[in-house]
Amino acid sequence: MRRIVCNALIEIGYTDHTEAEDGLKAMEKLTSEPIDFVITDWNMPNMNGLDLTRGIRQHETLGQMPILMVTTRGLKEDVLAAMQAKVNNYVIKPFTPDILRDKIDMILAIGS
Amino acid sequence: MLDKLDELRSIFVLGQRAIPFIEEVVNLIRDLAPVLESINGSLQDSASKLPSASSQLERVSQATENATTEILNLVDLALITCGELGKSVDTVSTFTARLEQLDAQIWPSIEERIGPEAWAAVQPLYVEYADSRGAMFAGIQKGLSGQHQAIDTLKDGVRQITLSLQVQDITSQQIASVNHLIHSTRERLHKLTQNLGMKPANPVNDTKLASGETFDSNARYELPGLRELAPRDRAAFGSNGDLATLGDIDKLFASQ
Repeated sequence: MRRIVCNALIEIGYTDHTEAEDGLKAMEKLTSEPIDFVITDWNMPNMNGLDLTRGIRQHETLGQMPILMVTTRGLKEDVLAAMQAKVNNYVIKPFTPDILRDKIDMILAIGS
Repeated sequence: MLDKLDELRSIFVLGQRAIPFIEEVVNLIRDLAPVLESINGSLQDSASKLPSASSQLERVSQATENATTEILNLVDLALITCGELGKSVDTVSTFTARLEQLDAQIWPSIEERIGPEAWAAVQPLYVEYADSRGAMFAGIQKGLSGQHQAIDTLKDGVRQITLSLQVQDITSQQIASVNHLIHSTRERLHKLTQNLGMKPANPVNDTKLASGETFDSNARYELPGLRELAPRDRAAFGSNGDLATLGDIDKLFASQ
């Protein structure tokens, strides 16, 4: 799935990206590499996307990181749970590169 | 004394009447014993088959993941090839346009240099050449345009394959959910066989459950936009079990 997201990112012009297998690895990368946007799945081993989002929000330097959640979870209560965890936007799979671009643009527009 | 004898007689009569019933109960218990044995065997059999079912599902999930990776490799290759083809077509197009430009410059220059008499001798040949050249360039442009369209169609198809491949992630979520159910059932069977005083077929291995992996049992493969068409009341966002549409999500996050 990460590869599909990466391919979609390349297609919409975002060629500079890095990957992490799960939430824990993502947290490690976030604290050691210059990263300015996070796209996370919800269902991941070791640390899921919701916990990753909470971890980022509670972090002293990463707290304002834009986060887009891309997931199979399509119930309204899931979206609300993600919103409560403070993701910036939410995409339900399957998605097209255009949807991904729109969501990233929305987050960046609000951020700027 | 007589009262006591009457009571005793009543007890005997009751006992006589109860004997067939007790016999029935004994027979029922006798009949139940093999059934219970069979249930015990069945429980053990089911418990022993569950790990196999679970590992089969894991293999299915792994196989689809491998197949998806292979398809993605081919998709990447197809997109690279499309890109190279597109560049080749663009190069031919650029050279053709340059040739047309040069042609338009060369012939007037020749006409000017050789003078009207010599040009009059060359002109029929030039007219034939110009017609052929015009037809050739038109043919090349048409061909290049067709190739561009074919490459774009191919790219769209390949992109659509990438979109469709997201089904692998969605089905793997569902398989993980079924596997979780199998693990839970096996755990219950394990406890049940223990309560029945039987030796469990295999100890329950909870490593899969303990790994912290999450899954979505409601994962479904619906093309983007399909949910927008589903008739449902959107007035109360957040009602249990209702699916969110792209519009719902946009509205919700826009209101933040």
